[in-house]
Amino acid sequence: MLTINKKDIQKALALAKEIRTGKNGHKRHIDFLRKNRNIYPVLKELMPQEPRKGDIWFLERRGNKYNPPMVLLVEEKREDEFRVCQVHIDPILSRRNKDLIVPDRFPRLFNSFGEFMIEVWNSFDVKKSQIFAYCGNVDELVLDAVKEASQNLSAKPPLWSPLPPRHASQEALEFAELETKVASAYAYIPGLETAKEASWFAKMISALRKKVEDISLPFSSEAFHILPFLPEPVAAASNLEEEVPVGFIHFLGEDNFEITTLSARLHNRKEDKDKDGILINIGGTVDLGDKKKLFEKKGVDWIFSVALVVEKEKAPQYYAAKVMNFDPDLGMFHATILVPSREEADRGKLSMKLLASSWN
Amino acid sequence: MTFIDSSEQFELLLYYIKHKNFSLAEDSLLRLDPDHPILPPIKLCEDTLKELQKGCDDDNKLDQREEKLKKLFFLNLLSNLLSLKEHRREKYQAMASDIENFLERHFEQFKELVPIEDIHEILQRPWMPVPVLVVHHGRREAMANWFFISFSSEDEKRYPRSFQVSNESKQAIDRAFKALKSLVKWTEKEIETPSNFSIFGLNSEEVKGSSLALPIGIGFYLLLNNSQTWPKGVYATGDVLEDGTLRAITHLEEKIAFFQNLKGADKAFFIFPPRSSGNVPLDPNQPFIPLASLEQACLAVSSAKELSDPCELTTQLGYLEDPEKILRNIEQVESFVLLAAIDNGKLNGFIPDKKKNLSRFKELVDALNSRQGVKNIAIPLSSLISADETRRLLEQELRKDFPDLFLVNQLARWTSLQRAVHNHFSHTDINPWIEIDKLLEEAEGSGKIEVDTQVKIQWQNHKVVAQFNNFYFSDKDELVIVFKEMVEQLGKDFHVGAAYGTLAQLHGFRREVDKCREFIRRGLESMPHGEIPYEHRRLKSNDIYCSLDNGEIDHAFKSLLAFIGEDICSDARDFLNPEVLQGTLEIISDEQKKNQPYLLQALWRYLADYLEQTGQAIPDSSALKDLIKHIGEKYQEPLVKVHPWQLIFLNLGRVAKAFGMHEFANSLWHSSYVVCKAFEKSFFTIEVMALLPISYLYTSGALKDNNNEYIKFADYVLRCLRGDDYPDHSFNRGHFSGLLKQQDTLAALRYTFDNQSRLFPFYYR
Repeated sequence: MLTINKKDIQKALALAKEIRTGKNGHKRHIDFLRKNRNIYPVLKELMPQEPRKGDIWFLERRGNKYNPPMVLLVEEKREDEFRVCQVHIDPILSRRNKDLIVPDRFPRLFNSFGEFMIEVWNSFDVKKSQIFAYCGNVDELVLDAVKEASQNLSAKPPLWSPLPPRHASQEALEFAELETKVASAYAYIPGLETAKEASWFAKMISALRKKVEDISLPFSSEAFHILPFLPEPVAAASNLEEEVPVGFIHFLGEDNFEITTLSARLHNRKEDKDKDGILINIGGTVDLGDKKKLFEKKGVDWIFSVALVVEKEKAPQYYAAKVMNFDPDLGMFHATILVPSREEADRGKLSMKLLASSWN
Repeated sequence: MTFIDSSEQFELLLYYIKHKNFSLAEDSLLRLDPDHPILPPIKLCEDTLKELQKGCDDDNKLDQREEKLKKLFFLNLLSNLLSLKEHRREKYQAMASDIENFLERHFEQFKELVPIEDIHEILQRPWMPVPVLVVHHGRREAMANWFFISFSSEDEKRYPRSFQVSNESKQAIDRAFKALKSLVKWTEKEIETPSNFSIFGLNSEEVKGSSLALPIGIGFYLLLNNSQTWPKGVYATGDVLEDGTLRAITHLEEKIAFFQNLKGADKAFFIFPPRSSGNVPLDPNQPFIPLASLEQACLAVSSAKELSDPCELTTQLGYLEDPEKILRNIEQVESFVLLAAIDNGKLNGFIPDKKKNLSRFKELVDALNSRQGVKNIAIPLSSLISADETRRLLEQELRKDFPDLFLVNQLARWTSLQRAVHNHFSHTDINPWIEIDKLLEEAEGSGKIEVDTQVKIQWQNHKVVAQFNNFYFSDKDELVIVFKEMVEQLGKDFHVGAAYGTLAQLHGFRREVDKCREFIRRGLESMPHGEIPYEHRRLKSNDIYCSLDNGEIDHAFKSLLAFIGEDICSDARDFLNPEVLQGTLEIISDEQKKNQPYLLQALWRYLADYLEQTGQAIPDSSALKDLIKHIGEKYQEPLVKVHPWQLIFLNLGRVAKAFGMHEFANSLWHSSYVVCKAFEKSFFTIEVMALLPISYLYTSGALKDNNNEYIKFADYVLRCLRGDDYPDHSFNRGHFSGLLKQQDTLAALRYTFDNQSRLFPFYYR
C-alpha cells in the first residue's frame, strides 16, 4: 500500500493540475519524451503503424481548457472508434475500487519510470482521428485486469497491483473531478457538439457515477443503457407497431433525480446492408405525456440515446446508435445503429433512454 | 399499412427527410398506402426513388438529395390529394383531409414547386395527371414522370418557380396548348378556349426534349372534356405541331421497352407518331398504336375507358378510313369515331344535295333511327343536317310539280327522328322542326305529297311522347285522338308495336290499369314473334309500373321477370337472397349497354315498392347490406348523369333505407339529386324530378338547416313550375297545382313525398 504524505499529495495534485490545465503541462510531457534520447530510438522502433488496444497514446489537442491526456486504448468499439481509460503518471492520487495502479515492473510508459495509474472508472470513447502520439503500451495481463475491473469496480485488484489508499484523500477526490472534466472535453459523444452540452453531460455522468459505485459508467451515452434502475431493453426484431419503453431520468440536482418510464412507438424499422455490417434504422414517436412541458422550459438540457444490447458470455455488448435524433416538440425520433452481423441484429435488444436536466 | 393516422405519418416522413435519414424516409414514402387503387404516382415512386438515388449517392450531395426527396414527397401528396378529391368514399375522404391539412401547414416549404400561391386555390380547380415518358441523359432506360395540368386565367403563372423542364420542352408544351384550339370544336358542350394553363411535375431530374407535347396535349383535351383521370396503362409520346400534326421523336426504343415491361392492367396501349418507330421492331401482339394527329390520339385516349380491348381501338379507328363503314357499323361505332368522322367531313357524302346522295341519305336516316336513344351518337348524328337545311331541301321539293317522294319521306323521317332525339335528351330548340312538321302536314293535306304511314305514325308517336315530357297525360287531346285513330287503321308491324307502347304508357300515366294492359296486349300481338325480343320485353315493362302504381305487387313481380327475360326466381322474397340478387344483376349486365339502365330502374323500383308495400320483415343480412352498398358505390363511381339514373338512385336509396342503412340511403338520394341537377336549364322534365330525392332527404331528417343547396334547388324548381323562371308554356303546370298551393318549400317537399305516386306516376318514379 502506498504511504501517504500530505505534502506529497498536495504537490502531486498541483503537478496534475499543471499537467492537465497549465500552459506548460503538455509541453512538459512531450519534452520529457524528447530529452530521453536513450529511449527515443526504442520508441521509434516500437511505435506501431496503427493504434491497437493495449496501447497508451496522447490524444490530440481539443479546445484550450485542458491539455490532451494520455489514454489506454481498452477496446476497439468500431473501425474508427476506441473505448479508452484516462492514464495518469502519479498513483498517489488514486482511489481504491476506482483506479488500477500499474507497478514499475511494467516499464512500458516512456514518459515515466515508475508506477502509473489507469482510471478504470473514467472511460470514454474517442475517434481514431483524435489519437495523436504513441507513448507506450501495457501487457495483456494489465488490459484484462482493466476490463475485469470495469465490470465490477469493487472486486479485488490482481495481486501484482499495489492497492490505493483505503480512504481517498481530499486531493484525490478533487483530482477525480478534474479528470471528469478532462474526459468531457475529449470524449466523442454523438449529438453533444458544444462545450456547453458536454459540460452538463459531464455533471450528470459524475452524479450518476456517485450513485452506482460498483459499476464503471463510461463517459458516454452508453452509460444510460448500463444503469441498473432503468427499464430493461426489449427484443428489437419484432417490435414494429409495439410500444417500446423509454427510460427517462430527470435531474433536478446532484442527488436529486426522478426516474420514470415513457413509451415510444416504432413506426419504421428498416435494415440496410453496409460494408461494415447491418444498419438498423428505426424511427417513430415518443409519448412524452406531461413531460412535454419540461422540454418547453428554457435552460433544460436533454439527451436521447438509443442502443442495441447484445448479451454476451461475459458482459453485454452495446451498440450505440451512430446517428440519432429526437425532436421533443414533435415527439419524433430516428436512429441508425450499426451492428456487425445478421445474428446480432436479430438477437439484439433495443434500449432507449431519455435524460433531461434542469439542474443548474 | 396504415396503422397510425396518416397526418402523423406525414409529419414523421418530413422529419426523417429533414434529418437526412433517407432510408426511413423512402421506406415510409413507399408505405404510405400501397393498396390505394387510384394513385399512379405512388406506384411509380419506387422507380423515381431509385432514379433519385442514382444522382445523389455521393456524401456531398446529401443536401441535394434531401431537397429532391422533400419535393417528391410534397408533390406526391399533392397529386394524391388531387385525385382523392373526387372520391366519395369515407376512407379516402379522411385521408384527403389529412393531406390537405398537412400541405397547408407546410405550404411555405413547397410553394416554389407549384405555380399557385395558395393551396386552396390549387384544390378548387380540376387537375389532370399526365404520365410523361422520359429517358434521362446517359441512361438507356425510360421512366414515367407525372405532370399535373390545369387551365388558368390569363395573368396566372404557367410554371412553378422551380420547374425542372428545359426551354425546348416548354416550347413543346406551348405548341400542344395552341393545337388544343383545333380540338375545342369537338366537344359536345360549348366550351370557350381556355386562355392559359398551369403545370407542375413530379420529375426528379430536368426533363428535356419535346416528346412530352403529345401526352400533355391529350391531357388538355381530357381536361377540357371533364374527364376525371388519365386512363390507366395508357402512354403516349411525341411532339405536336401547332396544327395538331404529330412529329417524330427520339428515344422511342427505350420507351417501347418501358411499355413492354409493364404488367397486366398497368398496360393498355401506347401511342406515338408513326415515323418515330424507324427501325424499332414492334411486337405485333402488343397494343402499339402509331397515330398521325393529336386529334386521333385524343380520341383514342378519351375512349380508352369504354374499350375493354385495346385492339378494339384499332377496329374503331379503322372505321374512320371509310365513311361507308361507319354507317354500316353504326351499332358498333363508338362516339369518338363518329365525332372525328363528322369533324373531318367524312359523312358529308350522305347529305342530300340536288338529286345527289339520295340513296345514301337513307342510310344516314336509318343509322340515326337505330341509335336514336344513344346520346353521344344520336346528338352528333342528328346535328349533321340542320333544321334550316332540311327545310330548304323540303321547300325545294315542294316547289316542284312532282316532288321526289323518296326524298320527301326521308326528310319527314329525319324530322320525326329529331323529335325523338329531342324527347330523349332535350338538347336543342325543337321549334324549327315543329315548323317543318306543319309544312309536311299541310303539303300532305293538300294532296301534294304522300307520306308513308310508317313515317307518319312515328312522327305522331314522338309528338305524344313529347307531351309526356311536359306532364300532359290527357287522352282527350286532339293529338292523342288522331294518333289512336292512325294506330287502329294500321296492320301489324314493329312501328305499330311501338305506337301501342306509347298508348299503354299514356294509360299507365293515367293509372288506368286495364286500358294500359289492353294496349300492351295489342302491341305484343302486332309485333312479329321472336324478331325483336328486347322490344317485346320493353313493352311488357309498362306493366310493372302500372301494377306497382295500382298496388298489385305480385302481378308486378311476374312482369318484372318477363322484362328481365329469365325466371330467375319463383318468389319475390328470393330477391332478398344475395346470390339471387347478384345473379339478376349479372343477367342484366349481359344485356346491351343502352338497355341496362331501364332494367335496373325497373328492378330497384320493384324492390323498393315491394319492401315498403308488403311491410316485409327485413332480414338482418349483412351479406345483403354489403351487396347493396357495393352496388351503390359502383353506381356512384363514376356517376352517370343521364336518364334514368336519377330514378335508379332514388329507388336504390329506398331499398337501402328499408335495410336500415340510413346514411347510405342519403348518399344515394344525393346522387339522384346530382343527376337531376345535371339537367339544370336543359331538360325540365328531369330537373323537376329532383323534388323526389330532396323530399326523401327532407323526410329522413338529413336536411339539418333550411339554407342548403337542396332546398335552394327545390326553391328554384318550384319557381320554374310557377312559371317565374321557366317561360315554356307547353309545360303542364296544372299537373302540379296541388304542390304549388303549399305554403313554403318545406311544406312542398312534404307534399311531394306524400303525393309522389300522383305527381310522378308510372315510370317517372
